[in-house]
Amino acid sequence: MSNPVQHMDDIQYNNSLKKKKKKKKRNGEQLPFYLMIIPGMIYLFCNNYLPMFGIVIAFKKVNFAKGIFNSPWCGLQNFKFLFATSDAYTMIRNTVLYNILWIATGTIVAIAIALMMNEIAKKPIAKLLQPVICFPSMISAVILSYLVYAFLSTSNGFLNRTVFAANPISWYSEPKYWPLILTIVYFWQNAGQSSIIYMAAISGIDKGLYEAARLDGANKWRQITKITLPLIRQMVILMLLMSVGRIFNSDFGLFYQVPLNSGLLYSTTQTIDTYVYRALLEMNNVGMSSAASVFQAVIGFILVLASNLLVRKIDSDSALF
Amino acid sequence: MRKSDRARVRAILSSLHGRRKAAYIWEYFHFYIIAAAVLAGLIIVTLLQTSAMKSTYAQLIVLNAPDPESCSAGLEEDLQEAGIPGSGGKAAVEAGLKYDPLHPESSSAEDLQVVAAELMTGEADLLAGSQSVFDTYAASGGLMDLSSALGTAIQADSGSVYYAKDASGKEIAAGIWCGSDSPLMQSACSSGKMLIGIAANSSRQEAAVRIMQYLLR
Repeated sequence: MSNPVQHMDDIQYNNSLKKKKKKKKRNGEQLPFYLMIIPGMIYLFCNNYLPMFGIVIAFKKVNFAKGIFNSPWCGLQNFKFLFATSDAYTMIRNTVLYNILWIATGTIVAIAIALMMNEIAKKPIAKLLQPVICFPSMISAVILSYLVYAFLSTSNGFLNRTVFAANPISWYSEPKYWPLILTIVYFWQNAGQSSIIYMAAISGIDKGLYEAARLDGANKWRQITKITLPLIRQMVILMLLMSVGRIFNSDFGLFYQVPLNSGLLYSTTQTIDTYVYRALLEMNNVGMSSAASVFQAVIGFILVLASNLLVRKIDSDSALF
Repeated sequence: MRKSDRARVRAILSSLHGRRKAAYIWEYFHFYIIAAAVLAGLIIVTLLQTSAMKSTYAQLIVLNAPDPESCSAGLEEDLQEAGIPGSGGKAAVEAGLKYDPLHPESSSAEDLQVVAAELMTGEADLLAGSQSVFDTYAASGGLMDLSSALGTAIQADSGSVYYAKDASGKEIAAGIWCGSDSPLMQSACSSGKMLIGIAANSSRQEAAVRIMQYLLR
Protein backbone atom coordinates (compact mmCIF):
# COMPACT_ATOMS: atom_id res chain seq x y z
CA MET A 1 0.00 0.00 0.00
CA SER A 2 1.40 3.39 -0.97
CA ASN A 3 2.12 6.12 1.51
CA PRO A 4 -0.75 8.73 1.48
CA VAL A 5 1.72 11.61 1.79
CA GLN A 6 3.69 10.25 -1.15
CA HIS A 7 0.40 9.92 -3.06
CA MET A 8 -0.52 13.60 -2.41
CA ASP A 9 2.93 14.67 -3.54
CA ASP A 10 2.49 12.72 -6.76
CA ILE A 11 -0.88 14.35 -7.41
CA GLN A 12 0.59 17.82 -6.77
CA TYR A 13 3.54 17.03 -8.99
CA ASN A 14 1.27 15.80 -11.77
CA ASN A 15 -0.95 18.89 -11.44
CA SER A 16 2.00 21.22 -11.65
CA LEU A 17 3.29 19.30 -14.69
CA LYS A 18 -0.13 19.62 -16.35
CA LYS A 19 -0.22 23.34 -15.55
CA LYS A 20 3.25 23.81 -17.01
CA LYS A 21 2.27 21.91 -20.16
CA LYS A 22 -0.91 23.99 -20.47
CA LYS A 23 1.06 27.21 -20.03
CA LYS A 24 3.62 26.08 -22.58
CA LYS A 25 0.86 25.20 -25.03
CA ARG A 26 -0.86 28.55 -24.46
CA ASN A 27 2.42 30.40 -24.90
CA GLY A 28 3.08 28.42 -28.08
CA GLU A 29 -0.35 29.35 -29.42
CA GLN A 30 0.17 33.00 -28.58
CA LEU A 31 3.68 33.18 -29.99
CA PRO A 32 2.52 34.24 -33.49
CA PHE A 33 0.65 37.16 -31.90
CA TYR A 34 3.73 38.23 -29.96
CA LEU A 35 5.74 37.98 -33.17
CA MET A 36 3.18 40.18 -34.92
CA ILE A 37 3.86 42.88 -32.31
CA ILE A 38 7.58 42.97 -33.12
CA PRO A 39 7.49 45.18 -36.29
CA GLY A 40 5.27 47.72 -34.52
CA MET A 41 7.49 47.69 -31.46
CA ILE A 42 10.62 48.16 -33.60
CA TYR A 43 8.96 51.06 -35.42
CA LEU A 44 7.83 52.63 -32.12
CA PHE A 45 11.29 52.23 -30.63
CA CYS A 46 13.13 53.62 -33.68
CA ASN A 47 10.66 56.42 -34.41
CA ASN A 48 9.54 57.51 -30.94
CA TYR A 49 12.08 56.38 -28.37
CA LEU A 50 15.47 56.39 -30.07
CA PRO A 51 15.26 60.10 -31.04
CA MET A 52 14.69 60.94 -27.36
CA PHE A 53 18.45 60.71 -26.89
CA GLY A 54 18.46 63.95 -28.90
CA ILE A 55 17.11 65.70 -25.81
CA VAL A 56 20.72 66.01 -24.63
CA ILE A 57 21.31 68.47 -27.51
CA ALA A 58 19.11 70.96 -25.62
CA PHE A 59 21.67 71.04 -22.82
CA LYS A 60 24.82 71.06 -24.96
CA LYS A 61 26.80 73.66 -26.87
CA VAL A 62 27.02 71.55 -30.00
CA ASN A 63 30.46 71.41 -31.55
CA PHE A 64 30.46 69.60 -34.88
CA ALA A 65 34.07 68.49 -34.47
CA LYS A 66 33.38 66.86 -31.11
CA GLY A 67 30.01 65.33 -31.92
CA ILE A 68 26.87 65.45 -29.79
CA PHE A 69 27.98 63.44 -26.79
CA ASN A 70 31.43 64.99 -26.49
CA SER A 71 30.25 68.59 -26.89
CA PRO A 72 30.39 70.64 -23.67
CA TRP A 73 27.33 70.95 -21.43
CA CYS A 74 25.84 74.43 -21.23
CA GLY A 75 23.09 74.03 -18.65
CA LEU A 76 19.93 75.95 -19.49
CA GLN A 77 21.68 78.44 -21.77
CA ASN A 78 19.87 77.15 -24.85
CA PHE A 79 16.52 77.76 -23.17
CA LYS A 80 17.33 81.40 -22.53
CA PHE A 81 16.95 82.40 -26.17
CA LEU A 82 13.28 81.49 -26.03
CA PHE A 83 12.58 83.92 -23.22
CA ALA A 84 15.34 86.51 -23.60
CA THR A 85 14.05 87.70 -26.97
CA SER A 86 11.70 90.66 -27.27
CA ASP A 87 9.36 88.41 -29.28
CA ALA A 88 8.98 85.93 -26.41
CA TYR A 89 5.71 87.40 -25.14
CA THR A 90 4.19 87.64 -28.64
CA MET A 91 5.04 84.11 -29.72
CA ILE A 92 4.01 82.43 -26.46
CA ARG A 93 0.80 84.48 -26.34
CA ASN A 94 -0.04 83.64 -29.95
CA THR A 95 0.69 79.94 -29.53
CA VAL A 96 -1.35 79.54 -26.36
CA LEU A 97 -4.28 81.76 -27.35
CA TYR A 98 -4.75 80.22 -30.80
CA ASN A 99 -4.64 76.77 -29.22
CA ILE A 100 -7.15 77.62 -26.47
CA LEU A 101 -9.50 79.17 -29.02
CA TRP A 102 -9.17 76.28 -31.45
CA ILE A 103 -9.40 73.55 -28.82
CA ALA A 104 -12.61 75.04 -27.42
CA THR A 105 -14.35 75.98 -30.66
CA GLY A 106 -12.80 73.12 -32.63
CA THR A 107 -14.35 70.54 -30.31
CA ILE A 108 -17.78 72.14 -30.64
CA VAL A 109 -17.50 72.37 -34.43
CA ALA A 110 -16.23 68.78 -34.76
CA ILE A 111 -19.05 67.41 -32.58
CA ALA A 112 -21.62 69.47 -34.50
CA ILE A 113 -20.35 68.10 -37.83
CA ALA A 114 -20.35 64.56 -36.41
CA LEU A 115 -23.95 64.97 -35.20
CA MET A 116 -25.08 66.32 -38.56
CA MET A 117 -23.26 63.58 -40.46
CA ASN A 118 -24.81 60.99 -38.17
CA GLU A 119 -28.28 62.29 -39.02
CA ILE A 120 -27.69 61.82 -42.73
CA ALA A 121 -25.57 58.68 -42.41
CA LYS A 122 -28.09 56.49 -44.22
CA LYS A 123 -28.73 58.92 -47.06
CA PRO A 124 -26.69 58.60 -50.31
CA ILE A 125 -25.38 62.18 -49.94
CA ALA A 126 -23.41 61.05 -46.84
CA LYS A 127 -21.13 58.98 -49.08
CA LEU A 128 -20.21 62.13 -50.99
CA LEU A 129 -20.06 64.50 -48.02
CA GLN A 130 -17.78 62.40 -45.82
CA PRO A 131 -14.82 62.43 -48.23
CA VAL A 132 -15.52 66.04 -49.18
CA ILE A 133 -15.23 67.33 -45.59
CA CYS A 134 -12.11 65.26 -44.97
CA PHE A 135 -10.39 66.23 -48.21
CA PRO A 136 -8.94 69.60 -47.01
CA SER A 137 -6.88 67.85 -44.32
CA MET A 138 -4.98 66.03 -47.07
CA ILE A 139 -3.85 69.25 -48.73
CA SER A 140 -0.25 70.23 -48.01
CA ALA A 141 0.52 73.56 -46.39
CA VAL A 142 2.21 74.86 -49.55
CA ILE A 143 -0.87 74.24 -51.69
CA LEU A 144 -3.05 75.63 -48.93
CA SER A 145 -0.99 78.83 -48.87
CA TYR A 146 -1.59 79.30 -52.62
CA LEU A 147 -5.31 78.66 -52.22
CA VAL A 148 -5.46 81.33 -49.52
CA TYR A 149 -3.35 83.64 -51.67
CA ALA A 150 -5.86 83.22 -54.50
CA PHE A 151 -8.44 84.69 -52.15
CA LEU A 152 -6.31 87.34 -50.45
CA SER A 153 -3.88 88.61 -53.09
CA THR A 154 -4.02 92.41 -53.01
CA SER A 155 -4.17 92.90 -56.75
CA ASN A 156 -5.80 89.73 -58.07
CA GLY A 157 -7.34 88.07 -55.03
CA PHE A 158 -10.97 86.94 -55.15
CA LEU A 159 -11.97 89.07 -52.14
CA ASN A 160 -10.38 92.27 -53.38
CA ARG A 161 -11.93 91.79 -56.82
CA THR A 162 -15.42 91.15 -55.53
CA VAL A 163 -16.36 92.05 -51.94
CA PHE A 164 -13.70 94.72 -51.37
CA ALA A 165 -13.40 95.97 -54.97
CA ALA A 166 -14.06 99.56 -53.90
CA ASN A 167 -11.56 99.55 -51.03
CA PRO A 168 -9.03 96.77 -51.57
CA ILE A 169 -7.31 95.51 -48.43
CA SER A 170 -3.63 94.64 -48.28
CA TRP A 171 -4.19 91.38 -46.40
CA TYR A 172 -0.53 90.37 -46.23
CA SER A 173 0.54 93.59 -44.49
CA GLU A 174 -2.32 93.98 -42.00
CA PRO A 175 -1.80 91.73 -38.96
CA LYS A 176 -5.21 92.48 -37.42
CA TYR A 177 -7.07 90.31 -39.96
CA TRP A 178 -4.93 87.22 -39.48
CA PRO A 179 -6.41 85.74 -36.29
CA LEU A 180 -9.70 85.46 -38.17
CA ILE A 181 -8.11 84.29 -41.44
CA LEU A 182 -6.02 81.62 -39.68
CA THR A 183 -9.04 80.46 -37.68
CA ILE A 184 -11.15 80.08 -40.83
CA VAL A 185 -8.36 78.27 -42.67
CA TYR A 186 -7.72 76.04 -39.65
CA PHE A 187 -11.37 74.99 -39.39
CA TRP A 188 -11.71 74.52 -43.13
CA GLN A 189 -8.71 72.21 -43.07
CA ASN A 190 -9.20 70.35 -39.79
CA ALA A 191 -12.84 70.31 -38.72
CA GLY A 192 -13.84 67.44 -41.02
CA GLN A 193 -11.00 65.20 -39.97
CA SER A 194 -11.49 65.96 -36.25
CA SER A 195 -15.16 65.03 -36.54
CA ILE A 196 -14.36 61.49 -37.78
CA ILE A 197 -13.47 60.31 -34.27
CA TYR A 198 -16.74 61.68 -32.90
CA MET A 199 -18.64 60.12 -35.81
CA ALA A 200 -17.13 56.76 -34.89
CA ALA A 201 -18.05 57.26 -31.23
CA ILE A 202 -21.63 58.22 -32.13
CA SER A 203 -22.04 55.30 -34.50
CA GLY A 204 -21.12 52.98 -31.62
CA ILE A 205 -24.07 54.12 -29.50
CA ASP A 206 -26.84 51.53 -29.14
CA LYS A 207 -29.65 52.50 -31.57
CA GLY A 208 -32.17 51.02 -29.13
CA LEU A 209 -31.60 53.96 -26.81
CA TYR A 210 -32.78 56.41 -29.49
CA GLU A 211 -35.72 54.15 -30.30
CA ALA A 212 -36.77 54.10 -26.65
CA ALA A 213 -36.32 57.87 -26.35
CA ARG A 214 -38.49 58.42 -29.45
CA LEU A 215 -41.20 56.21 -27.99
CA ASP A 216 -41.05 58.31 -24.81
CA GLY A 217 -41.59 61.43 -26.92
CA ALA A 218 -38.04 62.84 -26.91
CA ASN A 219 -37.36 65.17 -29.83
CA LYS A 220 -34.06 65.28 -31.74
CA TRP A 221 -32.51 67.93 -29.49
CA ARG A 222 -33.32 65.96 -26.33
CA GLN A 223 -31.92 62.79 -27.91
CA ILE A 224 -28.67 64.64 -28.61
CA THR A 225 -28.39 66.27 -25.18
CA LYS A 226 -29.59 63.28 -23.14
CA ILE A 227 -28.13 60.34 -25.09
CA THR A 228 -25.46 61.28 -27.63
CA LEU A 229 -23.48 63.89 -25.72
CA PRO A 230 -23.35 62.01 -22.39
CA LEU A 231 -22.28 58.83 -24.18
CA ILE A 232 -19.45 60.48 -26.15
CA ARG A 233 -18.30 62.49 -23.12
CA GLN A 234 -15.34 60.20 -22.44
CA MET A 235 -14.16 60.49 -26.03
CA VAL A 236 -14.47 64.29 -25.85
CA ILE A 237 -12.42 64.36 -22.66
CA LEU A 238 -9.80 62.07 -24.19
CA MET A 239 -9.49 64.32 -27.25
CA LEU A 240 -9.35 67.44 -25.07
CA LEU A 241 -6.60 65.98 -22.90
CA MET A 242 -4.59 65.09 -25.99
CA SER A 243 -5.05 68.61 -27.37
CA VAL A 244 -4.03 70.19 -24.07
CA GLY A 245 -0.74 68.30 -24.29
CA ARG A 246 0.02 70.15 -27.51
CA ILE A 247 -1.02 73.59 -26.33
CA PHE A 248 2.53 74.95 -26.75
CA ASN A 249 2.83 73.51 -30.25
CA SER A 250 1.40 74.97 -33.42
CA ASP A 251 0.61 73.86 -36.94
CA PHE A 252 3.85 74.97 -38.57
CA GLY A 253 2.55 74.94 -42.14
CA LEU A 254 -0.45 77.04 -41.21
CA PHE A 255 1.53 79.73 -39.41
CA TYR A 256 4.58 79.77 -41.67
CA GLN A 257 3.36 79.00 -45.18
CA VAL A 258 -0.14 80.47 -45.21
CA PRO A 259 0.93 84.03 -44.21
CA LEU A 260 3.74 83.60 -46.80
CA ASN A 261 6.34 84.21 -44.07
CA SER A 262 5.44 87.90 -44.15
CA GLY A 263 7.42 89.83 -41.53
CA LEU A 264 4.66 92.44 -41.24
CA LEU A 265 2.32 89.81 -39.82
CA TYR A 266 4.58 88.47 -37.09
CA SER A 267 2.60 90.16 -34.30
CA THR A 268 -0.30 87.79 -34.96
CA THR A 269 1.31 84.89 -36.83
CA GLN A 270 4.55 84.29 -34.94
CA THR A 271 4.35 81.15 -32.79
CA ILE A 272 7.01 79.22 -30.89
CA ASP A 273 7.48 76.82 -33.82
CA THR A 274 7.86 79.49 -36.48
CA TYR A 275 10.19 81.53 -34.27
CA VAL A 276 12.38 78.50 -33.62
CA TYR A 277 12.44 77.64 -37.32
CA ARG A 278 13.49 81.17 -38.29
CA ALA A 279 16.09 81.27 -35.51
CA LEU A 280 17.47 77.91 -36.64
CA LEU A 281 17.90 79.13 -40.20
CA GLU A 282 19.50 82.40 -39.14
CA MET A 283 21.78 81.08 -36.38
CA ASN A 284 22.20 77.40 -37.31
CA ASN A 285 22.03 76.53 -33.60
CA VAL A 286 20.49 73.09 -33.25
CA GLY A 287 20.83 73.31 -29.46
CA MET A 288 18.37 76.20 -29.31
CA SER A 289 15.75 74.52 -31.48
CA SER A 290 16.12 71.33 -29.50
CA ALA A 291 15.62 73.31 -26.28
CA ALA A 292 12.39 74.76 -27.66
CA SER A 293 11.10 71.26 -28.44
CA VAL A 294 12.01 70.01 -24.98
CA PHE A 295 10.23 73.02 -23.46
CA GLN A 296 7.09 72.32 -25.50
CA ALA A 297 7.14 68.62 -24.64
CA VAL A 298 7.73 69.12 -20.90
CA ILE A 299 5.06 71.81 -20.54
CA GLY A 300 2.65 69.69 -22.60
CA PHE A 301 3.34 66.66 -20.41
CA ILE A 302 2.77 68.65 -17.21
CA LEU A 303 -0.46 70.11 -18.62
CA VAL A 304 -1.77 66.65 -19.57
CA LEU A 305 -1.00 65.36 -16.07
CA ALA A 306 -2.64 68.40 -14.45
CA SER A 307 -5.75 68.25 -16.67
CA ASN A 308 -6.08 64.53 -16.08
CA LEU A 309 -5.82 65.09 -12.33
CA LEU A 310 -8.56 67.69 -12.58
CA VAL A 311 -10.78 65.36 -14.63
CA ARG A 312 -10.18 62.54 -12.15
CA LYS A 313 -11.27 64.76 -9.27
CA ILE A 314 -14.47 65.80 -11.06
CA ASP A 315 -15.34 62.47 -12.68
CA SER A 316 -12.90 59.62 -12.07
CA ASP A 317 -14.44 57.39 -14.80
CA SER A 318 -13.57 59.91 -17.50
CA ALA A 319 -9.91 60.27 -16.55
CA LEU A 320 -7.32 59.07 -19.04
CA PHE A 321 -5.19 57.30 -16.39
CA MET B 1 2.96 26.18 -38.53
CA ARG B 2 2.56 22.95 -36.57
CA LYS B 3 4.27 19.72 -37.59
CA SER B 4 0.98 18.06 -38.50
CA ASP B 5 -0.03 21.11 -40.62
CA ARG B 6 3.33 21.10 -42.34
CA ALA B 7 2.95 17.45 -43.31
CA ARG B 8 -0.60 18.08 -44.55
CA VAL B 9 0.50 21.05 -46.71
CA ARG B 10 3.41 19.01 -48.07
CA ALA B 11 1.03 16.20 -49.01
CA ILE B 12 -1.36 18.60 -50.74
CA LEU B 13 1.48 20.32 -52.62
CA SER B 14 2.92 17.01 -53.82
CA SER B 15 -0.44 16.15 -55.35
CA LEU B 16 -0.54 19.43 -57.31
CA HIS B 17 1.46 20.47 -60.35
CA GLY B 18 2.38 23.58 -62.33
CA ARG B 19 -0.02 26.52 -62.19
CA ARG B 20 -2.32 24.87 -59.66
CA LYS B 21 0.60 24.42 -57.29
CA ALA B 22 1.67 28.04 -57.74
CA ALA B 23 -1.93 29.22 -57.26
CA TYR B 24 -2.23 27.16 -54.05
CA ILE B 25 1.04 28.57 -52.68
CA TRP B 26 0.02 32.13 -53.58
CA GLU B 27 -3.47 31.71 -52.07
CA TYR B 28 -2.23 30.52 -48.70
CA PHE B 29 1.19 32.13 -48.42
CA HIS B 30 0.96 35.45 -50.28
CA PHE B 31 1.47 37.53 -47.11
CA TYR B 32 4.64 35.59 -46.31
CA ILE B 33 5.85 35.90 -49.92
CA ILE B 34 5.25 39.67 -49.99
CA ALA B 35 6.90 40.10 -46.58
CA ALA B 36 9.91 38.06 -47.70
CA ALA B 37 10.18 40.08 -50.94
CA VAL B 38 10.05 43.38 -49.03
CA LEU B 39 12.65 42.14 -46.57
CA ALA B 40 14.89 40.94 -49.39
CA GLY B 41 14.49 44.31 -51.13
CA LEU B 42 15.46 46.17 -47.97
CA ILE B 43 18.52 44.00 -47.46
CA ILE B 44 19.62 44.47 -51.09
CA VAL B 45 19.13 48.27 -50.96
CA THR B 46 21.03 48.47 -47.64
CA LEU B 47 23.89 46.38 -49.03
CA LEU B 48 24.05 48.46 -52.22
CA GLN B 49 24.08 51.71 -50.22
CA THR B 50 26.76 50.40 -47.90
CA SER B 51 28.95 49.33 -50.80
CA ALA B 52 28.40 52.69 -52.53
CA MET B 53 29.40 54.49 -49.31
CA LYS B 54 32.50 52.34 -48.98
CA SER B 55 33.57 53.09 -52.53
CA THR B 56 33.26 56.88 -52.10
CA TYR B 57 36.71 58.42 -52.40
CA ALA B 58 35.63 61.70 -50.84
CA GLN B 59 32.45 63.74 -50.63
CA LEU B 60 32.14 67.43 -51.39
CA ILE B 61 29.11 69.47 -50.34
CA VAL B 62 28.43 72.54 -52.44
CA LEU B 63 25.86 74.78 -50.77
CA ASN B 64 23.43 76.97 -52.71
CA ALA B 65 24.54 75.98 -56.18
CA PRO B 66 22.32 77.83 -58.69
CA ASP B 67 22.23 74.78 -60.96
CA PRO B 68 22.79 71.74 -58.73
CA GLU B 69 22.63 69.11 -61.48
CA SER B 70 25.15 70.79 -63.78
CA CYS B 71 27.38 71.55 -60.81
CA SER B 72 27.55 68.01 -59.48
CA ALA B 73 27.72 66.34 -62.92
CA GLY B 74 30.33 68.84 -64.19
CA LEU B 75 32.54 68.57 -61.13
CA GLU B 76 32.37 64.79 -60.92
CA GLU B 77 33.34 64.61 -64.60
CA ASP B 78 36.18 67.10 -64.11
CA LEU B 79 37.53 65.15 -61.16
CA GLN B 80 37.36 61.89 -63.06
CA GLU B 81 39.14 63.39 -66.05
CA ALA B 82 41.83 64.73 -63.74
CA GLY B 83 42.47 61.19 -62.50
CA ILE B 84 40.87 61.73 -59.10
CA PRO B 85 40.51 59.27 -57.41
CA GLY B 86 42.35 57.11 -59.94
CA SER B 87 41.33 53.50 -59.52
CA GLY B 88 38.28 52.47 -57.52
CA GLY B 89 35.89 54.74 -55.63
CA LYS B 90 34.30 57.95 -56.74
CA ALA B 91 34.51 61.58 -55.72
CA ALA B 92 30.88 62.43 -54.90
CA VAL B 93 29.52 65.95 -55.19
CA GLU B 94 26.32 66.87 -53.36
CA ALA B 95 25.14 70.19 -54.77
CA GLY B 96 21.40 70.21 -54.11
CA LEU B 97 21.51 71.55 -50.54
CA LYS B 98 20.29 75.05 -49.74
CA TYR B 99 21.43 76.90 -46.67
CA ASP B 100 22.61 80.48 -46.22
CA PRO B 101 22.14 82.24 -42.88
CA LEU B 102 21.95 85.59 -44.72
CA HIS B 103 19.05 84.32 -46.81
CA PRO B 104 16.84 82.21 -44.53
CA GLU B 105 13.90 82.60 -46.91
CA SER B 106 15.68 80.52 -49.54
CA SER B 107 17.19 78.08 -47.03
CA SER B 108 15.86 74.72 -46.03
CA ALA B 109 15.89 73.47 -42.43
CA GLU B 110 16.01 69.89 -43.67
CA ASP B 111 19.14 70.64 -45.72
CA LEU B 112 20.67 72.36 -42.72
CA GLN B 113 20.20 69.18 -40.71
CA VAL B 114 21.64 67.05 -43.53
CA VAL B 115 24.77 69.24 -43.65
CA ALA B 116 25.08 69.16 -39.84
CA ALA B 117 24.77 65.37 -39.77
CA GLU B 118 27.23 64.84 -42.63
CA LEU B 119 29.81 67.21 -41.14
CA MET B 120 29.43 65.70 -37.68
CA THR B 121 29.69 62.08 -38.76
CA GLY B 122 32.60 62.69 -41.11
CA GLU B 123 30.54 61.65 -44.12
CA ALA B 124 31.30 64.98 -45.82
CA ASP B 125 34.97 65.78 -46.42
CA LEU B 126 34.82 69.14 -48.14
CA LEU B 127 32.47 72.11 -47.96
CA ALA B 128 32.05 74.84 -50.56
CA GLY B 129 29.87 77.87 -50.01
CA SER B 130 29.64 81.58 -49.33
CA GLN B 131 31.43 83.57 -46.62
CA SER B 132 28.36 83.60 -44.33
CA VAL B 133 28.15 79.81 -44.58
CA PHE B 134 31.80 79.50 -43.60
CA ASP B 135 31.39 81.90 -40.67
CA THR B 136 28.50 79.81 -39.37
CA TYR B 137 30.11 76.40 -39.78
CA ALA B 138 33.49 77.56 -38.46
CA ALA B 139 31.71 78.85 -35.31
CA SER B 140 30.01 75.47 -34.91
CA GLY B 141 33.36 73.68 -35.09
CA GLY B 142 32.49 72.08 -38.41
CA LEU B 143 35.58 73.22 -40.34
CA MET B 144 39.19 72.21 -40.07
CA ASP B 145 42.01 74.70 -39.60
CA LEU B 146 43.60 74.51 -43.04
CA SER B 147 46.98 75.64 -41.76
CA SER B 148 47.33 72.21 -40.17
CA ALA B 149 45.98 70.31 -43.18
CA LEU B 150 47.78 72.16 -45.96
CA GLY B 151 50.88 73.30 -44.04
CA THR B 152 53.32 75.27 -46.15
CA ALA B 153 51.05 75.29 -49.20
CA ILE B 154 48.66 77.61 -47.44
CA GLN B 155 51.37 80.07 -46.47
CA ALA B 156 52.41 80.46 -50.07
CA ASP B 157 48.94 81.59 -51.02
CA SER B 158 47.92 83.45 -47.86
CA GLY B 159 46.11 86.18 -49.80
CA SER B 160 43.25 83.91 -50.72
CA VAL B 161 42.85 82.32 -47.29
CA TYR B 162 39.68 83.14 -45.36
CA TYR B 163 39.99 83.31 -41.57
CA ALA B 164 36.97 82.77 -39.33
CA LYS B 165 36.40 82.22 -35.61
CA ASP B 166 35.97 78.65 -34.49
CA ALA B 167 33.82 77.31 -31.59
CA SER B 168 36.34 78.52 -29.00
CA GLY B 169 36.62 81.98 -30.59
CA LYS B 170 40.08 81.32 -32.03
CA GLU B 171 40.76 82.46 -35.60
CA ILE B 172 41.38 79.59 -37.98
CA ALA B 173 42.06 79.31 -41.70
CA ALA B 174 38.55 78.05 -42.45
CA GLY B 175 38.57 78.21 -46.24
CA ILE B 176 40.25 79.36 -49.40
CA TRP B 177 38.66 81.58 -52.03
CA CYS B 178 38.19 79.89 -55.37
CA GLY B 179 39.63 81.68 -58.36
CA SER B 180 37.50 82.40 -61.43
CA ASP B 181 39.18 79.56 -63.35
CA SER B 182 38.51 76.99 -60.64
CA PRO B 183 36.39 74.03 -61.84
CA LEU B 184 33.97 74.98 -59.05
CA MET B 185 33.30 78.33 -60.69
CA GLN B 186 33.29 76.83 -64.18
CA SER B 187 30.65 74.20 -63.35
CA ALA B 188 27.75 76.48 -62.42
CA CYS B 189 28.32 75.84 -58.72
CA SER B 190 28.17 79.46 -57.66
CA SER B 191 26.87 82.77 -58.87
CA GLY B 192 29.27 84.78 -56.69
CA LYS B 193 32.50 84.35 -54.77
CA MET B 194 32.97 80.95 -53.22
CA LEU B 195 35.07 79.42 -50.46
CA ILE B 196 36.19 75.83 -50.10
CA GLY B 197 37.30 74.15 -46.88
CA ILE B 198 37.77 70.76 -45.25
CA ALA B 199 35.32 69.32 -42.71
CA ALA B 200 36.76 69.04 -39.21
CA ASN B 201 35.70 65.42 -38.90
CA SER B 202 36.69 64.38 -42.43
CA SER B 203 37.40 60.68 -42.45
CA ARG B 204 39.26 60.89 -45.78
CA GLN B 205 41.53 63.86 -45.17
CA GLU B 206 44.18 62.91 -47.72
CA ALA B 207 41.58 62.63 -50.47
CA ALA B 208 40.01 65.92 -49.33
CA VAL B 209 43.34 67.74 -49.60
CA ARG B 210 43.95 66.27 -53.05
CA ILE B 211 40.53 67.36 -54.33
CA MET B 212 40.93 70.78 -52.77
CA GLN B 213 44.30 71.30 -54.43
CA TYR B 214 42.78 70.34 -57.77
CA LEU B 215 39.79 72.66 -57.34
CA LEU B 216 42.06 75.57 -56.38
CA ARG B 217 44.51 75.12 -59.23
